[in-house]
Amino acid sequence: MKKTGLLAITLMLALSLFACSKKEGNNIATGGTSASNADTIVIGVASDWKTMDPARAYEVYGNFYFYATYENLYMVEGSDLTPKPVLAKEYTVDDSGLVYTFKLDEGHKFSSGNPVTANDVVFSFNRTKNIKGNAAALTEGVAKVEAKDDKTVVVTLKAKDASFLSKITGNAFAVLDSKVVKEKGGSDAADASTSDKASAYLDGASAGSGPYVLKKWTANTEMVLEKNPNYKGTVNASKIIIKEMPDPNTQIQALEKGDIDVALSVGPDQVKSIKAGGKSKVVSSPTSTISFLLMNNKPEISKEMANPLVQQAVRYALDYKGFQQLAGDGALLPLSFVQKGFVGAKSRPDNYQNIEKAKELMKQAGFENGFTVPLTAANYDSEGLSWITIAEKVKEDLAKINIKVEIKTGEIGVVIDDYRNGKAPFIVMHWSPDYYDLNNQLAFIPGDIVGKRANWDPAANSELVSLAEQAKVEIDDTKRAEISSKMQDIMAENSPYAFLVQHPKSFAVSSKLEGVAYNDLCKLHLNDLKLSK
Amino acid sequence: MLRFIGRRLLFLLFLLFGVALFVFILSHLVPSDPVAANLSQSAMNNPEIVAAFKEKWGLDRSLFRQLILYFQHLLTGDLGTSIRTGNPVLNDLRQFFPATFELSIVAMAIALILGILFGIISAIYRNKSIDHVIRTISISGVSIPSFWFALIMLNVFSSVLGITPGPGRIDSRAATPEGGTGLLLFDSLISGNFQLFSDVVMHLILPGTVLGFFTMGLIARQTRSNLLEVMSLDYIRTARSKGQKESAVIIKHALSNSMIPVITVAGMGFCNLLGGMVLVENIFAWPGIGQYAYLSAVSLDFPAICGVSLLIAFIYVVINLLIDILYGVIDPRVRYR
Repeated sequence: MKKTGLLAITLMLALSLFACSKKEGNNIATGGTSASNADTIVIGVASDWKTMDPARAYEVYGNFYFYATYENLYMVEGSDLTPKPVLAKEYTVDDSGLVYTFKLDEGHKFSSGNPVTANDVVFSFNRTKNIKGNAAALTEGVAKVEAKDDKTVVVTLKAKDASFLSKITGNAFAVLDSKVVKEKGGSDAADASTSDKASAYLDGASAGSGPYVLKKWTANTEMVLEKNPNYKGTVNASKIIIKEMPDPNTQIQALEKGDIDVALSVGPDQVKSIKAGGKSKVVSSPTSTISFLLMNNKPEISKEMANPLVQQAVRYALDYKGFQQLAGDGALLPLSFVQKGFVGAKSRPDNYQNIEKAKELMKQAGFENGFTVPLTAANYDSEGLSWITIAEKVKEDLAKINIKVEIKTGEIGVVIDDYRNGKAPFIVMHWSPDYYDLNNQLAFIPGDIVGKRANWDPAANSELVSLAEQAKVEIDDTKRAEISSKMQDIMAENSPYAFLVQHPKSFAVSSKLEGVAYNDLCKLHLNDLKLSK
Repeated sequence: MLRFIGRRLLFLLFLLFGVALFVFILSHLVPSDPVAANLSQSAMNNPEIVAAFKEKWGLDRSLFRQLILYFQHLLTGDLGTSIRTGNPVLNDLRQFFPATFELSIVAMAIALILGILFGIISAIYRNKSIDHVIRTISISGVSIPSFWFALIMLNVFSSVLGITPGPGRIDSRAATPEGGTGLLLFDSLISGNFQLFSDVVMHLILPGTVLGFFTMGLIARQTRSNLLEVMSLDYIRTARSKGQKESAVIIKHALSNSMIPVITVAGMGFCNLLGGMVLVENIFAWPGIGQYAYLSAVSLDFPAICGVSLLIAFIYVVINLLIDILYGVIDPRVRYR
C-alpha cells in the first residue's frame, strides 16, 4: 500500500510538472520585466560576440546588436547598403575633399534622456580611435573631429577617401552618450587604450539613442533588449530576446516548435528541412562574403603555384557553376574581387571554365604532366558551406589538368597564421568586408592586406596599384565604376587568386514574422520585425 | 581518515600546479598567434593596434615572464582575464559552472538510478528476454555517439512528439533570472517560483538523459556482472537457506557487497560525462562550461583555457577523493586497512 501511494504521488508530481511546462504564454521569470510574451520576439543565433562596446567590437554579428541600440550619423536601411542619414540631416564636403561637415538632426535623445549633441559625436569618434581596438582600423583615416556648435560636427580626413560615408555606417562610428560613458570611466583621450574603463559597463547596458536598450547580456547565453522610451521613431516589438544556440540543427528544431521566431545562424543544408506553407519560411539573400583560393606568389614557398601561367590555368579549370550550386540558392559568381552590390561589379561569363585552355597553359608553364600541391582548408565555413567541401571540389576540378591536390585541414585559429604570414602555398579563404565599399576590396591589390598574404609585390603590377589609388579618392560613381571594371579585368587574367563564389545567406523565420529583410552589415533591423497576430 | 583526506588535498595542490604548468606550456606550443586569432585583418595591418593588444594582454613580455606572472596571479586566486569575453576567468567560470553542475548532477542521478535498476533486473532475469533488452540498451548507451543521440532525442521527443521542451535551460521567451546561485532548480525553489521550477525540471530531463546514457550503460553492465558474481557465493546460498525473502537477499546481502566496483565505474562515468558535455551543451544550447571551453579553445583564449583545465582537474580529483571516502562508508573493512 505504501509503495502504491508513493508511486501515485510521484506520478501526480510528474504530471503536474508536465502540465505546468505545457502552458502557453506562461510568464515564468522574466528577469524583472513584465512585457507580454505575445509582443516578444525570440531570435536564435550562434553569435561571435566578444564585447558590446562599439569602440572595440568588429565581430560579424556586432552591428546586429549596435543597430538596435545605437544610432550613427549615417546608417544602412532595409537590404540596401547605401548610407542614409540618421543622426545627421545632411553633410557637405569642401573642395579639398578632406573636410566633411555634418548637420545633426533635431530631436534625437539617448536612452538616458540626454539629447544627442555634436560633443557626443566627437567623443565617440575619438574614443574609438584612441582605444586602438579592432574598430580603430576604420577610424585611422580621420585626422580630427570637432564640434563647431551643438548641432554641427566637422570631420577632417588625413587623405581623400571615397568610402568615408560607408565607413561611418558601422559600429566604429556609433554615437554614445558621452555624459553617461564618462561617468562610467570612459575616455576619449590619447591614452584611452589604457585609461578607458567603460567597456565593462557597456557590456551590460547600452548608451545609445537606438530603438532598444540593452537590459542584459550574458555571453554564450542570451541577450535581452527592451524598448528605448526616448527613441525618436516608433518601436515595434516591446522586447527582443536573443538566445545563443550554437548548433544550427537545434535552431531549426526550436523554430519549428515555436520556441524561437528566427533561426539566423543556419546554412543552406539546414533550411532544406523547412517545408513551404508551414509554420516557418526560408529567407535567402546575397551577402558580400566571397570565397577565394590564394596561390602564393613566392617561388620559395611553391614554385608551381607562383607561376602566373599555372594561376591562370587554375582559374580556367574550376567549375564555377558547381561552386554556385554548392553555396545554395541565391549564390552569385563575380568575375573577380568586386562583389555584386559594389560599384562596377562584373559577373563571370557562363562559359568561363575551359579545360583545354587550362591544359595549354599548364603545358606552356612546363607542367604538362602536372604536380602535387597541398591545399589548406580550415575546419570552417562560409555561410554554411564548409571550406573542406570547397577544397574537395577544387581537388576534383584540378585533377582534370593533372594538378594533384592534397587537402590539409586544421582549426581556423591555427590555419590563419600561415595565411596571414604569407606562408600558405595554396589555401581556401573567404573575405567579408569591414565596410561596404570598393575601397574595402582593394585589400586584394599587390602590396595591400591580402596582396601581402600572397606575396604579391606592388612592382608586379603597377597599373593595378595606380588604378587602386584612383579608386580610393574618386567620388564620381561613373568614373569609379570604370576604374573598378578595369581592375576586375586585369585581376581575372593576372593575379594570385581565383574568386569562387559570392555566398547567399539562408535562414528561416516564423511565418508570422513580418519586416524581415537581410542586410549584410547588421543582418536584421530588429526594429523592423513585427509578429502578426 | 582525516589524514587520508589531508594527504589527498595536498596532492590536489601539486596536481593543480602541474596542470597549470602543463596547460600553459601546451597552449603556447600551439603553432598559432593569439594576436592573429583576435584582431581583424585590417587591425593587424596597423602596428599601433597590434602593440596596444599585446600590451593589454601581456603578450609583449617574454614567455618566461608571462609564466611567472601567471603563477603569481594564480597564488592570489586570480586566473587572469579572458581575451574573448574580457571578464575575469574566475567570474566566467562562476557564471557557466552552475549550468554544467546542475545538468551533470541530473545526468548522474538518471545514470545511477536507471543503471542500478537495469543492472538488478538484468541479473535477476539472466538470459531472459528482458535481460537481452536491457543489455542492448546498455551497450547502446556505451557505443552511441552523444552528439548524434542528442540530435535524435531532441528531434523525436521535442519536435515530433512535443513531450519535452526545446533546447535551453528554461522557456525561450523567459529571460534567465539573475542573482542567486545560478542553479535554477535551487534558486526557483528558494524563491517559491514553482512554475519556473517545473520548467527547469522539464528542460533538464532530455539533456540529462542524453548525457547520462553513456554512464547508465556502464553502471548497468557493471551492476549486472557484479551481482551475478556475488549471487553465486556461499553466503548468499546461506541467506536463502535461512528462508530470507529473495528481495531481501538481493538488496541487503548481494547488492551492497557488489557496489564498490559500481562506484568506481560511476566515478569514471562522471568524469567521462564532463567530456561529453561540450557536444551535448552545444546541441541543447546549454550555457555551461563545455561551451565556454570550446569557444575559448577555438579563439586561443589562453587564460580561459588554463582556467577551464584547472577546474576540470579539480573536479576529477575531488570525485576520486569522494569515491575513496565512499569505499570506506560502504565497506568498513577499507577503513581498517
